[in-house]
Amino acid sequence: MKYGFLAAGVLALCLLTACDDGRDAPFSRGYAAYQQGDFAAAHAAWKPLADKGDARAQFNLGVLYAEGRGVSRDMASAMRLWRLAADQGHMRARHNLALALISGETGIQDYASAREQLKIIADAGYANAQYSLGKLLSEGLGGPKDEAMAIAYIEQAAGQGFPKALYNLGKLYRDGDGVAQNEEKAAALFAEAAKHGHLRAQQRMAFRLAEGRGVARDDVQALKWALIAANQGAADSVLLVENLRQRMTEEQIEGAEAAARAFVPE
Amino acid sequence: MKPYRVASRPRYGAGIWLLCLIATLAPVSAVLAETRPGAAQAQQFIADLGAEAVRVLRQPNLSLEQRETIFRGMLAQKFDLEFIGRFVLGRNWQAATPDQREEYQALFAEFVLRSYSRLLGGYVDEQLTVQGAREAGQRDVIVYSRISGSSNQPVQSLWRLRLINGQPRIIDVAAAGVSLSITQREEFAAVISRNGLEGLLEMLRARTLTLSAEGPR
Repeated sequence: MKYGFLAAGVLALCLLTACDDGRDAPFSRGYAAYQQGDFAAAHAAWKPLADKGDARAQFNLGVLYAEGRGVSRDMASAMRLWRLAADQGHMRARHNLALALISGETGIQDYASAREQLKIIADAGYANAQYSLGKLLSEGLGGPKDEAMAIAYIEQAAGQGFPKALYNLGKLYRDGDGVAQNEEKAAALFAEAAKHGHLRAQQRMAFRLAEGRGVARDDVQALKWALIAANQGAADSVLLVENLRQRMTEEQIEGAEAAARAFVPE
Repeated sequence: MKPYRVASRPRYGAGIWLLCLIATLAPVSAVLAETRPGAAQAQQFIADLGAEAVRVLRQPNLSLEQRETIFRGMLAQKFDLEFIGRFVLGRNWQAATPDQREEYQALFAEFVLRSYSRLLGGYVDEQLTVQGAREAGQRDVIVYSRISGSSNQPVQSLWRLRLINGQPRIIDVAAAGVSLSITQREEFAAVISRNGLEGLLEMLRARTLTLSAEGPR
């Protein structure tokens, strides 16, 4: 524990000194407080910067309002701050603004505008935006449905290792939905999403490895993923764990348990 | 074995009758006890979650995002998220396709765990105090808790627990006297009436994909 606190101190110090000059110190101080879970201190550090027009501080302050951290949740204030930052070219702010237009919490719902904003960010290479835009295109929200473009954007996000895109693409290949059906490719995409910590992908991989569907049967790996998913509350994985244990040796079970314990999402 | 005779009752003392009564009622009480979590058990369950929040969310060598992801994963085991998710979707559950149901449950779990995890404290100097419990309906127990900290107003939360496969599980949370499940059910129904089930899924996607604070360059 002592070393943990030491590491935290070093991390905080790095955050404060990593900047090229003193100009960033209040921003870094806010971020260090945010990382420590002291959201009121983060707000106090970022507010004066945001008032002076600092786009990053405006974005972060917007996040505090959107999540109700250190302040009461207030989406109207969050959107106002993100708009100010987006007008200065801040991509993450533009992304969050687009998503706020989709969720429509402040009474302003505008899929078409969200789609336009997301296209700008997606084309700039942001995986989150590529995935979000792909889903809007596949559902025909905010404009015509375009399955081919939807898949293209989801593939771009998957190519960057975005877990939800990997999983989604895996389902498309599993079902042959807009692409040629390919169980092996589906399994490979689920495996990649599972490694990135996607719970449903972990569940799917557990069953696929147990059955040898689209992938060679491997009870040790199947039990590993089933244990990881079961530890996150996946009820069907709890049953699979029991079934797998009955057909495995003690040595195999221990191997799977050790691998599950050692798992850290990529 | 001699036949049981009512007339023999005066021959036994009150102590014997008390023992007989306990023996008769014991199985009944055991059955009743299994229908809902015990008040002490339920209070301990919430107190343990509060302690776990402190342990995980104050780990010094992980980023805030990593700590919160670990905590949500742990918390997922303590809720009956499938039950809550179906309740919140109401009659729209029946109309959903298997793919929509699967995506809804995954998005809903992510969405609610973000809200519920913050009601357990764990940040900086926050402290969760369990204040009591009472039975509710035939099967549930409600636990009262309060989070206090120097930087925020105290938050009062009520946790509704039920035995699921013999284990206590949270099936609803109320903050400031309002059930989150009922609030979400009304909110979701309004979204579905405007934009259909796909509109609801899109809304949940948007709320769970919002980017978090960025660090220094």
